[in-house]
Amino acid sequence: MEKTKNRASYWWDWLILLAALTLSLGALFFANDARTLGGLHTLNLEIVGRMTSPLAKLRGYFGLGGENRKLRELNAVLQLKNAQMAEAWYENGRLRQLLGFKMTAPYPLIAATVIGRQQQPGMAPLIVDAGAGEGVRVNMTVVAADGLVGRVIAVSPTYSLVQSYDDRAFSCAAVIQRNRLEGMFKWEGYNRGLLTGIYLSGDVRKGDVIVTSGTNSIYVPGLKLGVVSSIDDAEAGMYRRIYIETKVDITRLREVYIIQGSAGERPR
Amino acid sequence: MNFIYYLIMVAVALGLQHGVSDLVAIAGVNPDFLLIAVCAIALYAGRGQGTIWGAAVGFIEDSLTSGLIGSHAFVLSLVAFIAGSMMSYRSLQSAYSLTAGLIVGLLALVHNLFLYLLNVHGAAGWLTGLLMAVFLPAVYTLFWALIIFAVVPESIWEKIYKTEPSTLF
Repeated sequence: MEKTKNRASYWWDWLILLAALTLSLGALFFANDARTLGGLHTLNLEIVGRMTSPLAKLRGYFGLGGENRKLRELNAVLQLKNAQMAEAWYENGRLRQLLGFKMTAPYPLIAATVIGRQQQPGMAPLIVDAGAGEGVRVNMTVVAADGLVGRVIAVSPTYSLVQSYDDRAFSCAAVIQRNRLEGMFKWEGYNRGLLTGIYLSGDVRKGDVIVTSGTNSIYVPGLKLGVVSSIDDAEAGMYRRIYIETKVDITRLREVYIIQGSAGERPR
Repeated sequence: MNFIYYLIMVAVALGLQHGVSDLVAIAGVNPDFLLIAVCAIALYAGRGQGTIWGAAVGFIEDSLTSGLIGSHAFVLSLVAFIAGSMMSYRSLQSAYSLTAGLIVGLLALVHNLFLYLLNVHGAAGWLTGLLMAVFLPAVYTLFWALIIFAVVPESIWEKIYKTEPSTLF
């Protein structure tokens, strides 16, 4: 009797494995679309967000002293820059009036705190504590003080999942700020980005600033991605391989801002 | 009753994985608390229940990453099945320490390699990729598994697993 029970249990285990593998392979091949699991995304994000948010307080205590010192220094620099930019803004306004251009206001922002981060190389989305209730929608651009962070890929009533720029699947249209040469930014892996699609004849220099171009209708234009750290033309073929040193340290992010709007919409 | 313990274990692991794992990261290398939790369940409850928990946790992970949907579910159910096959319930009471930790470390290597091949392959040089996405995270997960399995007193494990695993069907 015991032997029969053991044998049945043995086959059940194999049957369960077969079912689990079939289900997951089925999902891999036939359900690999975020919309297919939209409801599951929302439910899981809400549950995991609620479990993670108490732990998020812990994050605040790590490296607080050093961060405060850096912030005070940054504050002084920014105050100076702000004064210069205010002057430039007024001057810009006067010139626009003279030329008959319409004035544009900045996009409205939703402030959010990073409460969790998955840490697998190549796919490490952030969980932030602002969701549909605050007006967050899928594909909204997420920024930090130093530039682009990524975009919202899933939303629950109180939390959002953000695909950061260091994700394997991330790419966005980018331009060199100095001369508006356009290429495609993607994550090369392990601490650097890659700008592709610029011909060998393209004028690119080390230290050039790379910003979003706004032509892919998701990311608003002008957001800083990083600076050119090196250029490799040896194995480039038609295009230059331009390596980008990104400026936003995703691993240390705490506060982010979600831009209410996309490249296709006019700022309010 | 075991179901509640497993559920709590998975909930804690999810909280740790998404909430604090980056705080204990060393040079971008993180431990995989979810893998430890799934292995802990499979090691105790056997490969049948372990596989179900592995698949369930895997699908939750899939919905929270931007990787291929089904990749975590595939790997975690496979790993849980192997873990459950590697140890029987009876030997567990005495072995919930070094052996269990080593099994988790070994399976972390398998788990990371599968995920690397399914998701990350091609993002960087293969040698750097294997080192950063497969080998080092497995070693770090082994380190945490040894801490969790060996430092947590056996009496606590016994309290968690105070009843024999219930049959699935």
